[in-house]
Amino acid sequence: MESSKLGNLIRIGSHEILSCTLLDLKDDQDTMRFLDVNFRNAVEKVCGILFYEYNSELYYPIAMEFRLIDNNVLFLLNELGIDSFFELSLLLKSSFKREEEREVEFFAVIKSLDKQPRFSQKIDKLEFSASDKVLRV
Amino acid sequence: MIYSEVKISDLVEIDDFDMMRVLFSSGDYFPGFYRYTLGTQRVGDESLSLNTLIWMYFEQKMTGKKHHKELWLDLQHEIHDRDVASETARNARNFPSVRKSFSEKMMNWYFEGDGFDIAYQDIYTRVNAFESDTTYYFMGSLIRYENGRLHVGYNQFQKESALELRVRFDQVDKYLNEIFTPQQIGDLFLRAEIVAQLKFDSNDVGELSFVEESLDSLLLKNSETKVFGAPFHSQDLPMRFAKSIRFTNFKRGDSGEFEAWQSDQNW
Repeated sequence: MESSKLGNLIRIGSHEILSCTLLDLKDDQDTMRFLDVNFRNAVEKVCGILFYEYNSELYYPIAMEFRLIDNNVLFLLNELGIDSFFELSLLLKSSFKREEEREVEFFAVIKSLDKQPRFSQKIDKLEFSASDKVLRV
Repeated sequence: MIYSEVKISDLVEIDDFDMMRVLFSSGDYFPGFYRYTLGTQRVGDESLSLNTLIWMYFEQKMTGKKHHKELWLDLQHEIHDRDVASETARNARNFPSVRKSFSEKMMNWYFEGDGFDIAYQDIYTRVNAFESDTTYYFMGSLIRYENGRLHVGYNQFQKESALELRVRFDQVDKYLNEIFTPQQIGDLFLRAEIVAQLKFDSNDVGELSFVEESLDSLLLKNSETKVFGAPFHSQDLPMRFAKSIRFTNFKRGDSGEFEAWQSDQNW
């Protein structure tokens, strides 16, 4: 069967509906490991959020806005005006607690780029504090 | 459990074809957090229908009658209070500080803008296949294939979209049939289109506008078809209608003019 270099972000040859959750980064600092499972059966305790950084500005991949259904980052940041990763994490944690009765910790992955990324939207404002878990790669 | 690996560098270089495949791979019966879905949301008589909206537009043209923002959004305020702001048992599971902050930001988002794009979402005409030159609601986005491009976050009223992907229609069609059964396509895609705008003036009085040429065909739609709004300022969001705003229904009063539905009224 054909496979995709984008893992289950692209479903191939199956009618099974799977959602994706970013679990961690491998040692090469480039490979993201995802859990792909029906959302109702998910049990993971961590959830990563990927940002791109270009020219000191943060961007969010539109692919993630669609494919990660356990958050809605562009809406929360650019529309609702949430401007700190702490507040974003708190809101998402709270939602998991409310909707799924599950404790989930959030972390950010910030990938530095030397050109403006396609299919992404600039984040109006987002600040990180020392207590946030942030992987800069 | 299935685990997969994706290189960030591959995601950065994603092309139009793969972006299309990622987008459709997001099709899910769970709408996602901070998104509403018509599949699970009960939309009853209290919510504005396309038919009534059109007749209110005719009334505005003939008599100049317009309505205040508070009336248009009275129902949305109720929904907001029930789903987000109030201290129901379900909401109480939220962290209290988060609930208060989220509630305020959400209300500002839908109430502080100067108007809405208004789309109908047709749950009465089942979609059997994804066709070109037709707009669909899919996972909170309005999607349309036209002139060699897949438009994401499409605004028929302004002929604009948040994202355009250069892919062939046969590629889209083949991929959709690869990952969805006909049943899933019917469940996950709804006929939908932005057909009107509601713009508030400095006194928060709303003026309706339609594309006149569309009115005849819209009047032929099921009279129960409901309409939903997205604030003007959300135009860049690819999933603009994930948090669809509900409008208060109106009915003709004793004078024959449209009046806002009140929650204590019996229809």
